[in-house]
Amino acid sequence: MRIVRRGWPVALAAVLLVVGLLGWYMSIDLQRSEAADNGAVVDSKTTAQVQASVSQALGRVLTYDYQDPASTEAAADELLAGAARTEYDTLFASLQERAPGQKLMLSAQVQAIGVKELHGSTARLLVFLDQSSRRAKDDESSVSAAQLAVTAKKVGGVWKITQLKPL
Amino acid sequence: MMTDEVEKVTDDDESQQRPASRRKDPEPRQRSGGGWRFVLLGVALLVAASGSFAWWQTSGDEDRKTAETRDAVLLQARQDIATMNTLDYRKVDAGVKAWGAVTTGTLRDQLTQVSKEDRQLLAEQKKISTGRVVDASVVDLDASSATVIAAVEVTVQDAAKPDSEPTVKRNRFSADIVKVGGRWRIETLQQVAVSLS
Repeated sequence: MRIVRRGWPVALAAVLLVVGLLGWYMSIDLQRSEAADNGAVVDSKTTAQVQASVSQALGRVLTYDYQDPASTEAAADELLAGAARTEYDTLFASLQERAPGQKLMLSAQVQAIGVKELHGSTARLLVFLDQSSRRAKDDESSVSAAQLAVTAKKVGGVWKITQLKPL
Repeated sequence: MMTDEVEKVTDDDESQQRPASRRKDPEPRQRSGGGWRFVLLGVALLVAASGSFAWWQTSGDEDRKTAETRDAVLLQARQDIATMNTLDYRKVDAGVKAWGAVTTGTLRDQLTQVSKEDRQLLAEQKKISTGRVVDASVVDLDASSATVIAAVEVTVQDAAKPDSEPTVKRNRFSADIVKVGGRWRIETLQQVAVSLS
């Protein structure tokens, strides 16, 4: 009887400890889940911001006028970084070679855009891009539908495109 | 709050017991040693209360729920959009039935009312189409509806020419998804056409 009487606080404490630790464990487990860690769509403000920035950036960087290549290059300097920048430089160099002869003009417009992942200052997006090219030399023009996987990083308050992969 | 009270009770308990034990208790060590049990109980109560609160708060977190809904919608939509781009001429009825199972509303009505003649036609074309969602993203979301965009690769094998290479097409889709009867279903499915302004 005495042992039971003296033991009850310990027994109760043990039960309470188990309940409490389980609660903490479940809470941390839920917070650590992949879903909760991804702010895409959930953080609607940042999602909208990334969408707007990337749409604008793609439009500027992939629009090219043989008469004014400098403004496209300036946009690339401003809005591209990392692997996207390196790849773009290669593309831009070959463009610079043919563009004046063909009198080439390119334009691009984002048709649909979705943020798949948003972790802090890194975002992954799926972009449907409409592109058109016009060669003034022989008056040839074409349109194409592109699908891009884009990675963007926020650097110094600006969302920059760091990866650009056609799907 | 709760713990403060518990600890106070424990303190009071000890302060009352100690003088008493000096006078009367035959086993002073054991008697005064009883205090740690109540301290332990107090600590345990604190852990239990805070743990339960944390659990309750996290599981009720709206953002977390939205995030889980987003992932559930995307997973379902990827499968269903692939289904909508898949049809085997040898199993037209099964294919059409699968379309009906993943859609709702007018779209579902249209698909399930495919006439016998049309089914016959599909069977005679001897095509095996297999859809694969290359990438997809939720664009818009609330508790019972969502918009998903998907990059889809459709491989078409022409069984009439078994030696021919399958043709691969890339399509862009936008789907409106709604939750009906506990399942996310496609309400509209449209190709995202080029429209330069």
